[in-house]
Amino acid sequence: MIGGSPWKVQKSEFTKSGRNTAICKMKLKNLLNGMQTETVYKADDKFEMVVLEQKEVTYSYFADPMYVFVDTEFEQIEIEKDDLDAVIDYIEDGMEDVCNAVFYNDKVISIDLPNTITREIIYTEPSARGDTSGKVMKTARLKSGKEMSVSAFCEIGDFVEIDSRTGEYKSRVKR
Amino acid sequence: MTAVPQRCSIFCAIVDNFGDIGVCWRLARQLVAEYGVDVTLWVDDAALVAKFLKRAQAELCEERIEGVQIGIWSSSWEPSATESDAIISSNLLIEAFACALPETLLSALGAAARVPIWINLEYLSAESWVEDHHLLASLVSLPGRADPAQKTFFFPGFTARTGGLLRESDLLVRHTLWQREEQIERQRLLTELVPALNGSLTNDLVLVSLFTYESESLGGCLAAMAQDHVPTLCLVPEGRSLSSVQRFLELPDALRVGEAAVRGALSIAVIPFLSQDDYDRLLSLCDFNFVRGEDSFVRAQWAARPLLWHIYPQQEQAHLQKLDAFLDIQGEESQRENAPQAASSMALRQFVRLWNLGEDCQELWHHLRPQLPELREQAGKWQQHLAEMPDLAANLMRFCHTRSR
Repeated sequence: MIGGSPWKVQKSEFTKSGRNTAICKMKLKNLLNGMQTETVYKADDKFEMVVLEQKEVTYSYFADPMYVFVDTEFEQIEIEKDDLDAVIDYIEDGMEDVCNAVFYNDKVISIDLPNTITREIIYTEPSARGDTSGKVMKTARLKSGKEMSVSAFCEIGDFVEIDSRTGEYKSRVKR
Repeated sequence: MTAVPQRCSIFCAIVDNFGDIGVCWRLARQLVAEYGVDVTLWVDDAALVAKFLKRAQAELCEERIEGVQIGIWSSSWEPSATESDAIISSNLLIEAFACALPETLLSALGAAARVPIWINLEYLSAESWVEDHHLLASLVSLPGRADPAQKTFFFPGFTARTGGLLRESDLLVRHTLWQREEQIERQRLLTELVPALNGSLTNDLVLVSLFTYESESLGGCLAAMAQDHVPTLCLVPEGRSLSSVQRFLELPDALRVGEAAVRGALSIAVIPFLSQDDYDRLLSLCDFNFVRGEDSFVRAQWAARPLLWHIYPQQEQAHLQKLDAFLDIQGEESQRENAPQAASSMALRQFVRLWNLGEDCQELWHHLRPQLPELREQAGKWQQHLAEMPDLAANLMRFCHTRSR
């Protein structure tokens, strides 16, 4: 909690050098207005922690402009595209991932996906023969339209594991 | 014309020695002299500051010293309403070296209509991460304030993407004047500092200043100077270097200010703790300067003379990374100037590193001493390279101007 607003730490990087103060560089997002900022703090600076309510939800459907999720008691939870951030790239009809809806003051402020998700490649160029090491990468498109780098041996119709926090390709999976 | 802050409050918590106050005092003086800023320097150790400024402690806050008002604070300090108002009405508030401001002052800031431009002035480092962190801000919750205040981290450094180094506008001219008639100026300096040695100055004398922490490497280095075929005069200000010097001399009584001792080709003289301006002159007139911490380290670079940096030692050798970053950045510049890097600068690098590891440096000094003229030339180029960048106070004023627009 900073200055009356809840902020989410999206990325942090610790630095300690010689006599300099130990510092932490952080990318923060204001959970109320969505503003993002890059900041730096002394490592011993203290913050008031925000207690957020979380619920398990699954994606149901898109009713423009709201994305609708349902919780385990079949209560509908609506969230705007802007509040879905980078997660929006992995929201697809029919997805079965159990997500976390995060609430502040009874308002849903974000949806977190599992760290590892599986998505289908709907388009990629045919791979060149010979390289199966996985080190050579090429571009592939997911159902959402998101384009990402995958191993060169991946083909249309393959499923790949993705780290939802970084958006990085992890591996091809068999289904 | 760049609009500059009219009033500035600098808070300094003195950890040990004169390093922290040295940097803050230089900055305060420069802001007053060159930018006409009304500066109050808040310090938490009046006795040490009185010694540093060569003033009686009781007189410290009575009147401005070189245009700077001194104030006394502590972590449990409760500023009076007048003091609080004066700080809050500053356009610029500087926390030096991440010293935490007292809660009472933070509350007063929270209640103020406007929070000054708030800076955390950090220690100097040549490490690459500094460029990424310079001018990033903390968002700070202040009591009673809905919007967070911004505290900007200001990192001194050696590149254009950092806050730069402290350098008064006339500093390089002063060095040029001192060095133009070096022998005459040296004679004058030695007459003032060590009258007992008057007349002993020869043209081939190697003049060395020694301002380090206690060091295991010093004994071997002094032994090498004693064995040399050219005379060396080592000037040691009172303080921490002296205990290691005493160990080398093995005298029954400690040397006092103004006294000297001779071992072979080496004379060692103890000089008084110098004012900042006199110390600049000493650095300018020596052939080699042993310096430590941050302030003397920066000043020795402006003096354009070869130097050994005794970096502030940390647990688990954490300081070595910082040392290497400086040696690397200096080495890169030297390489750019005269590829491949000169053997003399490689030898100096090795000397600095081994000294900071507490290793024996006797052989290295033998190897290094004949290369001092070449190293002097390189130190001059390094000084010119640094002088191409704006100084720290100028960068700070530019930042304030940008923020206040």
